[in-house]
Amino acid sequence: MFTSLHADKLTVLGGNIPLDGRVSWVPQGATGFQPSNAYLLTEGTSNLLVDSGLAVHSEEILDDLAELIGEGGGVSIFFTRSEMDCVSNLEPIAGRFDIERLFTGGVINPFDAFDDLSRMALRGRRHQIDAHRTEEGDSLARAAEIEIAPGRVLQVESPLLRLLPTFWGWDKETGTLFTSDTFTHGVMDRPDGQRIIDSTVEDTTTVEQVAGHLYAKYEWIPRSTCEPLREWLQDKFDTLDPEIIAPSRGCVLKGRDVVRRHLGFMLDALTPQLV
Amino acid sequence: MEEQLVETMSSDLPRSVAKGVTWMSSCLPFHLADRVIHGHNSTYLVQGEHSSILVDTGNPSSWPIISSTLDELLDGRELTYVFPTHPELPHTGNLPRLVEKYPNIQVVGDTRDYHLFYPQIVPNLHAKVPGDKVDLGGQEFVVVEALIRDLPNTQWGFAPGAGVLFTADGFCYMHRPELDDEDPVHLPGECGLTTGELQVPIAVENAAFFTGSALYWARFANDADAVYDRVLHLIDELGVTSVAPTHGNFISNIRDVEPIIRAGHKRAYRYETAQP
Repeated sequence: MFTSLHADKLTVLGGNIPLDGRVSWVPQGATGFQPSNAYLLTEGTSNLLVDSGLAVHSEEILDDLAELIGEGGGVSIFFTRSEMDCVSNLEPIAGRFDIERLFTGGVINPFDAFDDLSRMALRGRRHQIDAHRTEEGDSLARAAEIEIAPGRVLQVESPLLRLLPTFWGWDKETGTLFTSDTFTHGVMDRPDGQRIIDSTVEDTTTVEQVAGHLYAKYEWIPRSTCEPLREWLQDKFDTLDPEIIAPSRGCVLKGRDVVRRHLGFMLDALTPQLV
Repeated sequence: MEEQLVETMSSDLPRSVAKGVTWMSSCLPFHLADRVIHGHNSTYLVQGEHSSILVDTGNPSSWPIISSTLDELLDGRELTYVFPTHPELPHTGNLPRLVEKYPNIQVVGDTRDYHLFYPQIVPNLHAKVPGDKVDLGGQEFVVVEALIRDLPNTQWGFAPGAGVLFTADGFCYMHRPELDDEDPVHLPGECGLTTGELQVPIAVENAAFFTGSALYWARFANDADAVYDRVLHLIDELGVTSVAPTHGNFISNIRDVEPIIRAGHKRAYRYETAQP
């Protein structure tokens, strides 16, 4: 079941992950349901999918995609990471839709990662976005902008706050910051709960909850020098002033007050002695 | 007609590197302007009298050659176990193909998340925790806590009868000074060499480059000595003689290599004047 985040511009698709002890990226003992998100950016007849969701949700994502872009329609894809929670529906999407362009980092071509995707025609549609590196091993986005359609771009950046090679996206048109595997802390009590935290929802999020989710995957944070990470994050949000935080997992955070509140939680979580 | 994509598999491999342990490596070729370099993406087969276990699965694009190599090494027997160290594509990408080829195979290790990525293999998943042992017949495979990792559900393994510690992305390194990519690479002809056989030894700069890139957290966490002291303690406790990383040459002289990797890890830290 998809949900519109910005009329005719941005939609979130995906299913829910039961937190039953079999998920590594949430705090131990976490319960409830965590949304798994793919986002469709739309401009006229052009479509850019940000991540592809989990294989276990393949059927609902593909059906929703068919309803949104038409059966067999054309879509470009941008992977924020090459991890399986982002890429594992690439093959079924390619089997049902026309993947026009694939934007991804890393040296491994995701088109090569699935049995039916080793076709030269598809491989030529891949655009690598992290080919330029410094001598110290930094990755910098090469394609700093992905043109969704003339006049509308998604700006791409390799964030300082990351674990594996990761890219954040910024859609100025909708004020949306795609944060991949950070800001993933919003979970639901019920599978049919509210997957968007906005001003209409009672927000019971605590800094401990944010830190728990952050440290579950970024286990090195509590023993690390976090000041540069805080400064980078604060600067990023001051510069962009996003209206929506769109993570690969967890509830979407919508509305500037909500965004600012959750930025504060994250900055405190990046000050481990406060948690 | 679709192109059959196969990553390079060195003619020097597979190679027996310890009792019952075979090093299988597909090497991803990188075509630079003036040369070709290779990146190891290794899998290891540990064989006992009645069972065998594959450590990591290799890239999906190298499946045809991995499959045929398994046919050759297993000589008609089924692969009993596969131990994916962690769920990144180079380590787990062939899980569905392995289950299709060997329907009774047991996928052992920290199997959290796999039901979400590969729902079709759920019946084959058998969760293990550090200390758990798999009996292969005259050869054991022990699950070990990963002391250097990126993803939270990374595990290491140890084959006591062979003295080999399987360290996933830990102890990965490059040994060429003029590199321009984060994957550990080498020149053609070096694919099947152990670190004791390499003519150009690993440099601290190489280890630092790789650590700062692939183990990104090392640039923020200033605790290399604590990490590698624990690793050395583990090596002593288990009686490790060789280390088998997924990326990089098989390490036959761990006592010589460990100080270089440790120094590289320290150098990857970026904030010398800041509070650790």
